[in-house]
Amino acid sequence: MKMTVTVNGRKRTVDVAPLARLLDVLRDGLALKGTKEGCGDGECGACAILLDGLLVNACCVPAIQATGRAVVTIEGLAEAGEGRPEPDRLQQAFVDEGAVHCGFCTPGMIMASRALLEERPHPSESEIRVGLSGSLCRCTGYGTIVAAVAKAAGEGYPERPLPWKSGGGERPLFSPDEAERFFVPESLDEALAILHRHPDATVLAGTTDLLPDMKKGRAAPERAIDLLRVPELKGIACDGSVIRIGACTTNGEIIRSPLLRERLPVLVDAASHSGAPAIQNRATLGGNVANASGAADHLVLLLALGASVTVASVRGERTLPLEDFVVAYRKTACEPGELIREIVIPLPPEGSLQKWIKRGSRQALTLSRVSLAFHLEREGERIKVFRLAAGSMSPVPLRLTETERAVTGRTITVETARLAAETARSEIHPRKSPDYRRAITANLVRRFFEELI
Amino acid sequence: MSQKPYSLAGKRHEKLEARQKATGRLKYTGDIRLPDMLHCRILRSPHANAIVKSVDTTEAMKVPGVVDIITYDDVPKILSMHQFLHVPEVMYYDSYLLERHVRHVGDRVAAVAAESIEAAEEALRKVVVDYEVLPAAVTMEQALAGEAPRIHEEARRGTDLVEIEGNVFEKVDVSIGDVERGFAEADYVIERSYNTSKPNPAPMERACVVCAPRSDGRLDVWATAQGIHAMRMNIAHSLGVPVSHLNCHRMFLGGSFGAHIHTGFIENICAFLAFRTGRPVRGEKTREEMFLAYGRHPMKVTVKAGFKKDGTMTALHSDTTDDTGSYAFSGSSKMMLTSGFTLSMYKCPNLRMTGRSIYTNTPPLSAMRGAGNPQASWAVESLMDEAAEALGIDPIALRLRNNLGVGDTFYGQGPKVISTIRSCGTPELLEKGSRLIGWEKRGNGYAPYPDRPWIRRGIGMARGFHTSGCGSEKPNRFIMDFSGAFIKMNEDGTAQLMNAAADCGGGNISTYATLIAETIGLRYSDVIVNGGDTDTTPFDGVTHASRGLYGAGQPVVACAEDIRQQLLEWASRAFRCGPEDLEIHQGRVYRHFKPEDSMTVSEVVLLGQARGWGNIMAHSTVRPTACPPHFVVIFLEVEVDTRTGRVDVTRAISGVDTGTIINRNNVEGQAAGGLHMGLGFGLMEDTLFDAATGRPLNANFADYKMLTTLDMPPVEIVFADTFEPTGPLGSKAIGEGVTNPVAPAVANAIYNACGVRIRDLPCTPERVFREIKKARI
Repeated sequence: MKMTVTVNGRKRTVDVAPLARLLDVLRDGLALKGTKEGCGDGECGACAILLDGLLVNACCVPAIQATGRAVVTIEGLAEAGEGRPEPDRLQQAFVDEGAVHCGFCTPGMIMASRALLEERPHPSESEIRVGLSGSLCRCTGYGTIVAAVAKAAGEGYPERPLPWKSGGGERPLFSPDEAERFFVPESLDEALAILHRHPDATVLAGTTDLLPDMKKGRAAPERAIDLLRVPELKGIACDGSVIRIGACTTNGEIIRSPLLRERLPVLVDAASHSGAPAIQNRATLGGNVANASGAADHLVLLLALGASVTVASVRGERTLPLEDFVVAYRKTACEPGELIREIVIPLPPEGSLQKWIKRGSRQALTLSRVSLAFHLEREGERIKVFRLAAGSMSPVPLRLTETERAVTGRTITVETARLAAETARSEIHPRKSPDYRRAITANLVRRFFEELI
Repeated sequence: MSQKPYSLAGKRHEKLEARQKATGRLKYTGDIRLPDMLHCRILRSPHANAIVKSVDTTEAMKVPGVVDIITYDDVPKILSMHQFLHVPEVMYYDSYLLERHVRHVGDRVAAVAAESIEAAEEALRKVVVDYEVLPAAVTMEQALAGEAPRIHEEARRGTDLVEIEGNVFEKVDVSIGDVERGFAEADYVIERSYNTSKPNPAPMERACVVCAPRSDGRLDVWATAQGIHAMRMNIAHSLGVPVSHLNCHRMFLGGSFGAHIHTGFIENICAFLAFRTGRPVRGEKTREEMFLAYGRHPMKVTVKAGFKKDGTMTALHSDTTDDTGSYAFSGSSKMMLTSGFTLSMYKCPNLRMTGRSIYTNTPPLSAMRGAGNPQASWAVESLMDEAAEALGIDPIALRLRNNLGVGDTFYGQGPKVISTIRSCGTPELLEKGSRLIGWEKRGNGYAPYPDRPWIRRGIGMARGFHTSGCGSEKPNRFIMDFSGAFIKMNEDGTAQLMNAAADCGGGNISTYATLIAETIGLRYSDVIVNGGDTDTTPFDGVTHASRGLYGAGQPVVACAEDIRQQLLEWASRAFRCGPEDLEIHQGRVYRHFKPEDSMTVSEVVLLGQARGWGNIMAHSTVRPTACPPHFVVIFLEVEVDTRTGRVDVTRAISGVDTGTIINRNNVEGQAAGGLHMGLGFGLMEDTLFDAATGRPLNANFADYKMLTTLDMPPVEIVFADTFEPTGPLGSKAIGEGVTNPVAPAVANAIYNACGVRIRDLPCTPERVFREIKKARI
C-alpha cells in the first residue's frame, strides 16, 4: 500500500505492507536509523517515538494505523530545536549528565522524556521514573537519566510545544489485492458490514500483542480491519447509573480521563499499573477483555465491578455480563461477525470501596503473578455486598464466590479478615507455584480487610 | 595515596560520540545496509538433543528471493572454538558452523541467505528436517547422572583430543599450604553450599554482523564484537582461510557485558555465506536468539572455611560444579576463575580448590560481567556473614581481619595468573560506607512502619573486587593480555589514535582521548580516535576482564609520552633550547621562564613538515605485568514484605576503589549500572528452561525481568583515594567489580531484615517467602 505519513514535520509517502511495523518503515523505508529495536515485543522502549504527540513503541504499530498521522523520531527533536542536526536542550542534558553510555536505549529514553515533559513540564522525580518506566537501560542504573530529564525541565524545556501532533489524515492507498483484504472503516456500520462479509478478519486495535506475534511467526492475518478510525468505539461517558467505555479506548485515555478520576478512580489506578506509558497509549480496554487471559489486568477488576460487555454486529447489539462473555482461556462469547463495542460498568454507590492489587516480579511492565480486585458496600457495620475477583491463578480470572458469601453480612473484624483469607486460600487452585500464590492471595485479602478495621 | 594533580583526568568529559548517540546519528552494526545485501536466518533445533538425520531444502529453495541454503554437509569440517581470550592450547574445539548433532533448543541446523528477511524466514518454514530425538540432560543433576546421555563425542583441547568422562570435560584440584592442617587448627569450621542462577547479559543491542566481499577477494566484516582481532582469528579458523583475508571493523556496541567476547556463530556463518554467494550478507539475532546464545554460568559452590576464635581464617576449600551449557565457549576457565576468586577473596594460608566443568543440553554460556567472580562473591560474601554471626564478630570486622591488601598476591584469573596487590582502598571504603548507611545502628532489622509491622527493614553489605585485565608478573600460558596502539599527529595539532579496543558503552575510547590529551598536553577536543579495523590496527586482547582502560590504555599512554617527547624535541630546535626547557599545555608549547616564546602544536608539526623532519608518530605494544584488583564495597538497605516475600532496595551505596579517576561521568555510570545489574542478579534475573524438554520458558523481555526505573533505588557512589602505580595515570578498572558483590549484599540485607538466609539465586519473592515461612515453623 501507499502510506503517507508526516515524519518530523515532512510529509513522506512510502510503499509498504499494510501490517509492516512502523519501526521498519522508519528504519528501512525512510532511513531514519535513530529509532532502535531492542526486543520487538514492546517491552524495552528502544523504539519509542511520538505518534500524534503520544509516546508509542514503533514495533507495535502497523503501517495501516500510522498512515495519515504525525510521527516524531529522535532525529526530529534536533531538527525541531535548531533547524540543523544539533542536539536540542533535552538531548544535550543527556550528554551533560553522563546519561549516554552505550547509547542504544538513548533515543527511546529521550523520546519518552519528551513525551513526559509535554504533559508535565515540571515533573517530580517519581513522575520522571514513572514516565520512563517502559524504557530499559542496561548501563546506567537510570540515575543520570532521571537527572538529565530534571535538568532539561529546569531549563524550561521544551521551549515550544511539539508542532507535529497531527498528520494529514490521509488514508492508506491499497493495491487491488490489498483492497480485498485490508479495511479502514470510518464508522461502526461500515466496520460491521465488513466484518459481516469477512468474519475471519483480524480486527486491529492497539496491536500490542499482534505485531510481536507476527514478528515471531505466530500470526499472519490474511485479512484485517482497523478499528482505530471508528469514532463510535472511542470515548468514556457517564450514562445514568453506568459508565460506558468504548472498546478502543486506551489505557492512556482512561488515565487522563477527568470523569474516571472522579467517578471510578480504581480503573485509573489499574490502567496506570498496566504496562508503561508507551503501551498504555496503545493498549485498549476492549483488547484486554478480548484477550480473555487469566493474566489480563483489567478483566479482574471489571469482574469485581460487575461490568458487562456490549457486542455489536449487523444483526444488532447484545450485552452480556463479563462472566458470561469470557468463556475460557483466550475464548469469548463473540460470535463470528461480532465485535466488542463497549464495556459497561455500574457506577459504584456512594460510600462503597474498590481496590485493585497486582503483584508481579517487579514494579513496572510486569505480568501479574497475583492480581486481586475488591468491591465492598457496607450497611452500617455490616458487609452488604462484597465482590472479589482473582487473576493469574486460573486460565481466566475468577470471582471468588465462596469468599464473597463467607463474609457477606458480617462486620469487619480481625476474625472476618482471617475468614476471608482462609476461604480465598482454599478457593483458588493455581497451577504454577500453588503454595506461594495461595499464601500471597490469603495475605492480600487479609490485608484488605485489616486496613478497614 | 593522593592522586597527582592532573589537568583533565578526574573531570567530567562528554564521550566523544555522546552527541551522535543522543541525536540518533551514530551508526551501530545493525544500522548498516549495503547494496545487493542478503539476509541470513538460521534454522534452529526445537529439540535439546537430537541427531539431524536429513535436511530437505528442495521446497525452501523455491521460495522467491532465496539465494543459498547451507547445512552441515556444506560447512567446513573444522572443529572450532569461539571465545576470544585464552591461548589456544587451553581452549575447547567442540563445534562446527552447523551441526549434525544438535545439543540445545536453538542449536544450528541450517542457514538461509535471501534477498529479504521475510523470504529467509519463509524458507526456514519450508526446510524439512528429520530428527532422531535423543534423551536430553538439561540440568546439572541430569548431566552428572550415571545414565546421562553423552552430549559430546569428540572435542579437542588445543590440538589434543580430550577424554570426556560422562559430561565432565575438565576437573581441577589445586592446593596451597595444607588445608587439613588448617582446618585442624581452626576453632570453628563452617561449610555451606551456594547456588547461582543463569542470567543473560541482555545488552539492549542484539548481536549483528554484516560481511561484504571486496573486489580483492577479501571480506569486510562489521560486527558486534568485544575484540575485532580475536573475532578475525575465530572466523578465519572456522572457515579455513588466512586471517588476512578478513578485515574486521570496530563498531560502537550497544552494551555487551560479556555477550560479545566470542563469536556467536552468526558471524562465521554470514562470512561463509558471503564468500559462497559473493554478496554482502547480514545476520541479526532476534531477542529470543540472544537468550539462547549467552549467559552467566550457573554454579554450585561449596565453601568450607576454618576460623580462629578471633576471626582469623586458617583454611579455605572451595568445590565448584560449573555448567557451561552445550559448548565450552570458555573452556573450563569460568570454573577456574570462580575457584581462584573464591580463594582470593581473603587472606588465608591454606587453600584448596576442587571443581569440575560439565556440558548440559542448554545454550552455550560464556562470560557475563564478572567472569566467574559473581559466583565466587555470592558464596564467599554470604559465608562471611554466616561465619561472622557464628563467631560473634561484626561482619565488617571479620572482613578487615582477613583483608587481602597491599603486598599480598592473589589469583587474578584462576591459578595461572598470579599478581601482587599494590593499591587497596577497601578499609577506607568500608569506613566511608558504614558511616553513610549508619552501620553502627543497624541491629537485627526493624519494622519502620507502625501500621505495617510485616514490613521489615535491614542493612547488609558485601565486599569484593575484580581484576583490571589479566596481567601477571610472569607471562602465563592461559590468557592473552596485551594491547597495541599507534598515534600520529595531524597538521592542525590534533592527535589521532589507531587502536582496536572495543567500547561496549563504558566509554574507554573517550578515556583514551583523555589519556592522550593529559599526557601530551593537548585539549580533550584535540584527540581523534579512529573507527579502526584489523587492517590498520595492532592486535588487542579484547575488551573484557575490565581491561578497556587499564590494559588497552597502557600502550596509549606510552605512545602519547613518545609523541610528547618528539614534539618537545622539534620545538626545542625552533626555540634553540633544550627539550627540558619546554612544556606543552592546552595544545601549545611554552618555554619555561620565557612564556612569550610559544608556538602551537600545529605550528610544531607544520614546521617539521616544511623542514622535512618527517612524521610525528608513535607505536607501542604493552603486556601488563599486573591485574590490580579494583575493590568494591556495597551497602544496601532493603525492605522485606514478610507477607509476600517482596524485597525493595531502598538505599544503595557503591564504594569504588578505581585508582585515579580518568572520566568521572564514565566511572559513575559504571558504578550505578553495575549495581543495577548486580541487583538484577540478586533479585530477579534468571533464564529458565523446562527440565524435561530443554525449551526456554522466558526467552524474551516480557518474561525475563530486569530492574526498571521504578525498581531501581538512587545510588550513592563513594570513591577511595588511591593511586595504582602500574596503571595509566594511576588508574585501575571499574567495570565488573561494581557488580560482583551486589547479590550477596542483597542476601545479607534480607537476613538482617527478617532473619532468613537465601543461598540460591535469585532472591525472588517466592523464594524469600518460602524461607520466611520455613523459619516460622
